[in-house]
Amino acid sequence: MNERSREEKESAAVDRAEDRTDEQALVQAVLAGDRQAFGQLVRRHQKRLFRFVYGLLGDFDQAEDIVQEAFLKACGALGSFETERDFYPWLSTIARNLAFNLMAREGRKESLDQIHERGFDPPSGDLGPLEQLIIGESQQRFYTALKALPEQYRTVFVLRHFEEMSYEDISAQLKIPPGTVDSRLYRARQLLVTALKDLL
Amino acid sequence: MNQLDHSYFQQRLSAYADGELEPSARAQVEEHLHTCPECRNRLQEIEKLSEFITRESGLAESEYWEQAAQRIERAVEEAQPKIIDLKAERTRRRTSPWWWRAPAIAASVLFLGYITLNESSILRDEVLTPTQPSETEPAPQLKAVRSETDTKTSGSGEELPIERAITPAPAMSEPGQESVDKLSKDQGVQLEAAQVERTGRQESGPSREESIELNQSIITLAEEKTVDRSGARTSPDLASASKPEVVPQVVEPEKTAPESEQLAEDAVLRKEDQKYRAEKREKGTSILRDTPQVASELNSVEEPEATGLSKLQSEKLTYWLARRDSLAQQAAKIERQNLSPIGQVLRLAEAPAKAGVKTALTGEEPQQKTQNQTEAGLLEAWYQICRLTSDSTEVNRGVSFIEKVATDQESSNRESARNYLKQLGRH
Repeated sequence: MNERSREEKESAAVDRAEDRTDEQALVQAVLAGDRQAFGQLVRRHQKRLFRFVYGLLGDFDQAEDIVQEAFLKACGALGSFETERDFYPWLSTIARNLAFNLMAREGRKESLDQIHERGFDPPSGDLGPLEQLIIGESQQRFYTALKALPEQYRTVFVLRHFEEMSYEDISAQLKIPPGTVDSRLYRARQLLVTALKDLL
Repeated sequence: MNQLDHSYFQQRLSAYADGELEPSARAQVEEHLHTCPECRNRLQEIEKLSEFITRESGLAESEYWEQAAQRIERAVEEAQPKIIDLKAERTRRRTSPWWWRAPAIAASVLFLGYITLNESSILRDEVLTPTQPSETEPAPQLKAVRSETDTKTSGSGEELPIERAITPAPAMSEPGQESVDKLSKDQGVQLEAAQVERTGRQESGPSREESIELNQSIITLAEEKTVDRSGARTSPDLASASKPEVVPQVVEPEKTAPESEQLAEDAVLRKEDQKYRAEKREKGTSILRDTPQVASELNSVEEPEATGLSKLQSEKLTYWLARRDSLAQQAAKIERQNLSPIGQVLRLAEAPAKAGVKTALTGEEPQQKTQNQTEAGLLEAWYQICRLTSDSTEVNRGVSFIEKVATDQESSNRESARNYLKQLGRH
């Protein structure tokens, strides 16, 4: 079992290394003026990036715009990208900053008081255009609950679960103490557990 | 089992499941888990939730992705002349065009215009007290302005945070002037009068000594006038104890925005800011309702029951809780303004002359000073609350706040925060 697990890990590491080499070649190709190579980069990362941005914003149209904007900006600034690094984290940082700029401009944080007053009760309505990207009831309920989370909790939750950021990185990104990251993540999880209990 | 201990450990379960606890804390949680079936259940739920998310959060394959990719490719094609060429981009950064600096220029004109306006009103209303100019020192205001200008241009076009970008700069250009006119029209700042004043002053060309004398007089008089103005205007006393939680970092690629896009974005920002202000006036509601983190978080905490406290201690606790809330409210108010970049420019236009002139002379933002004072007040309030209350949630929040200040490199209250932590037995 351990041997098999080790082999799987090694295999995954080899895949990642190959992916990275491919990606470096793609970036070089884009810099050399190959537009198709950029299209490949888009197709490779757009799904994950969209999920992340949608998770932050909870709005399909805005997420769509931010993803497009992030790719555009990434394309424009590709010359400054250090090709030995992974492309996705860099792209995701651009998207994250764009999304945070938008959130800050809108100043639309929901007061946590409101959650305490009315409790956490995700609506059962449809998710709009996101429906086309969702399969099954479990996924439907997960995204409905995620969307209903207070923004402050959802942001931390998404950075942790979708982007796999450490508490320290989240703390630095959001400029909040690690203890606050911890408590918000705990509360986000508690709310989701309550909403999805029968599916876990 | 101690209820507080249980609640403490329960809140650590998330970090425990993520492997984010220090070894000692981890060992403590493990020890607690042995004796607490409820926490074991909670931990299991968290782990199940993580598995569920891994399983269910991936979005489905769909033709949408191909359509979206093609749309992005088209957008890149359309933007082709404006992007990629790194050499051109680097050259552009070295010689930032006027529109890239337009917001800073606009702010500078506003600033100078406003000061002149205030100077003129002061000159009309008050009798100046002459002071002796320095024979050897250059005009402090000019020196400060020059220093700011150096700072601004040294970054080769790096975008400044808005609070830095709105510092005075000597150069003005026509496009910047247009922006200012729009702003002043919106906000009722009588820039036109200010421009007339400025033109008059430029023609007469005040000497260096006159400039110093005038500045010193303005400070003296503005200090006297500020008391009357503080209620009517956006006062710099409404300072923030901390920066907005989500500080948008404008990334490098932001700079590739074309001219028309940049101007359009500015227009949208202005509109949004006006809309927000109008709504606020109309509703007359508490600003805390839609303000950022600090206030909503602080105020979302239920007041703890001061069990086991003497009457005096209870009264003290009530006082410090009220003081904390009041300061948090002040902090939140300014934070809301900080969220809107254009709001900051407009706020500068509304600031008393004292603020502007002092900034020019000392290089220190009055806003920053009052922010620090509010932060110091909040620190003390939290420290007292931590001492008095037995509510662990309050204590955790208080310690978090104090720790945040203690580790903030930019905070002038860092030392005080460290002392408070020491006195609370936290290091």
